[in-house]
Amino acid sequence: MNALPTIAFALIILSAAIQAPFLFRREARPDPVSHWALALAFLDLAAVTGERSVAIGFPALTGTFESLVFFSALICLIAWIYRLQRRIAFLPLVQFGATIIAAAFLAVASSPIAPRDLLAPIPALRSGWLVLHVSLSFIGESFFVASFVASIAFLASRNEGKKRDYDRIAYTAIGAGYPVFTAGALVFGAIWAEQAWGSWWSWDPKEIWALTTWLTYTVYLHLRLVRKRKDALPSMVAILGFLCALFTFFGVNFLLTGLHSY
Amino acid sequence: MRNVLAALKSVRLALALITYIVITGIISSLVAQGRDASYYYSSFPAPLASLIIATGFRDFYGSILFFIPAFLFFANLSVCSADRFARELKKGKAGRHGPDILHLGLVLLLLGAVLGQAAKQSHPAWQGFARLGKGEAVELPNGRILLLKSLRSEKYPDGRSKDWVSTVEVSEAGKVVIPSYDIRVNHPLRMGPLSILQASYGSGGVLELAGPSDSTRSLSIGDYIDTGVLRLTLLSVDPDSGLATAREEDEKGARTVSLAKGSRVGSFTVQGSGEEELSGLQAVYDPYYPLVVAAFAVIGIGSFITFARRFGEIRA
Repeated sequence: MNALPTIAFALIILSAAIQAPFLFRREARPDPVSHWALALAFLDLAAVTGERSVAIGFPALTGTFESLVFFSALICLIAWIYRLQRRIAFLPLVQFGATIIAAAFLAVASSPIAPRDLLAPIPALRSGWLVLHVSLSFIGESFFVASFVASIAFLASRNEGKKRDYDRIAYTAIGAGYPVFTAGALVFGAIWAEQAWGSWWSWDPKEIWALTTWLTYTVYLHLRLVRKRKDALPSMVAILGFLCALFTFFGVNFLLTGLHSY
Repeated sequence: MRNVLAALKSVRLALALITYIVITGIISSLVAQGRDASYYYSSFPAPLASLIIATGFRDFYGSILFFIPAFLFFANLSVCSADRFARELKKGKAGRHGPDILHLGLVLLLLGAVLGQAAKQSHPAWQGFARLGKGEAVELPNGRILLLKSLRSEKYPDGRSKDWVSTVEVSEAGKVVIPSYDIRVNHPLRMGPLSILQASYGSGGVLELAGPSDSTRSLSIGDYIDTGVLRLTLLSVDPDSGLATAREEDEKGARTVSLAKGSRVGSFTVQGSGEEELSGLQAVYDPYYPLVVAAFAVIGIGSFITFARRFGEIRA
């Protein structure tokens, strides 16, 4: 079973390799198979999570390695779903970017900063609210990956038609991810904290950065929905939002100290 | 007045305040909070350290640097939501109140957070921590008596802690009101505004005493007996030698004494010492708990209506 993450990584790299030549074609038509490699990678990583969950007797979401595996799996799943749906054009560049990010997270998962020790959670982490908190936060952030790549593509593109498509992807991805992230990171996180520590909010660095991420996407939605901005500013805010999400996950863990262990 | 209201309902003000909170929040997470002045002078150049101390940035979330913008944001959110609600009502578009409900939830959440914090600060005696051994009781801030009937630490096969469980009984004026309740980590006991949480688990020294007419007393660390002539408080127990250290106070003064098996303490005799398991229980006071839970529910409903409608528009 230890080979499963490596197989998933190989599938994601294979998917990226298939996608790469299609990026340079004039018409924005995606390749017909790479997303199936992503679907297989998702199933593979889901098996890793399932196997570890059975081994520790609790959903395997409480360690850095497990979180990264889960996050990569979700990015693969969302890239696959986006590629299959027909309502919003999911341009090859966005799928490629999401694939590279999934590969990058899995590469970090295989590094020494994410030990693979199979450890059952400490008493404070054994909570259904924690499972909701972590899983929904990552589902929301997986949509933010799509918005991040689409926003970079928006800023880089000079084609008005493509810009419109990229903006639409970014906007809909944030529209889907924001309520899920709100529920997971903030609402269920606060409920769990109250039950575990008797306080809804502790101004812990992780909490501050999760709030910062949420507020940044709040600014995006108000710029886009209330002020009807479709220029470069919302894209820049969406990029900043994802960088905040990344710092919440990696920066806070490795540079700052607080109540959160991952 | 009209100008003030116009300014308060401005989305531009909301964006400016959120940007301020984001930037200052980021900086506050990078500057250690709540340290002594000397820490900042040793970690930063003197002018920057002076600035951090003078502006209150070392306790950012308790300073006016946070409170004034947070209050303005609360006012902005309230006025903006009320204004938007009135406009949509005039238009007669009943299905467009998702953002209003979402904003109302946020207003309730901020209210619950502020009122809850204020209540905690005004009732310091209602918060506390106690380490209890089996059979020990403590008086709760609401006047009830909490008795620890039993405690156990559940372990994984590798010996690590899985759960801590304290079975308690609560009585009031001699009458049992909660016969038995298992307080676990993440599963507190709630009694109105008061919650009792399982905060820790460990072991501590205990001293067994035999008193007159075959009575016995068991003292945990920090416990005392008062014989009327002297008061003895148990300070520590050395598990290897079995020697206990205690503080003895009588009319001659106070002194630290060593107690071994057979030592006399007034009319009591030390029978032995050992280790006992202790449950760490924390009392938390939050009368606005229901308001915060209601706020979360309103936020959930508002989010669902808002984003479901948006996706409906996209699909159309």
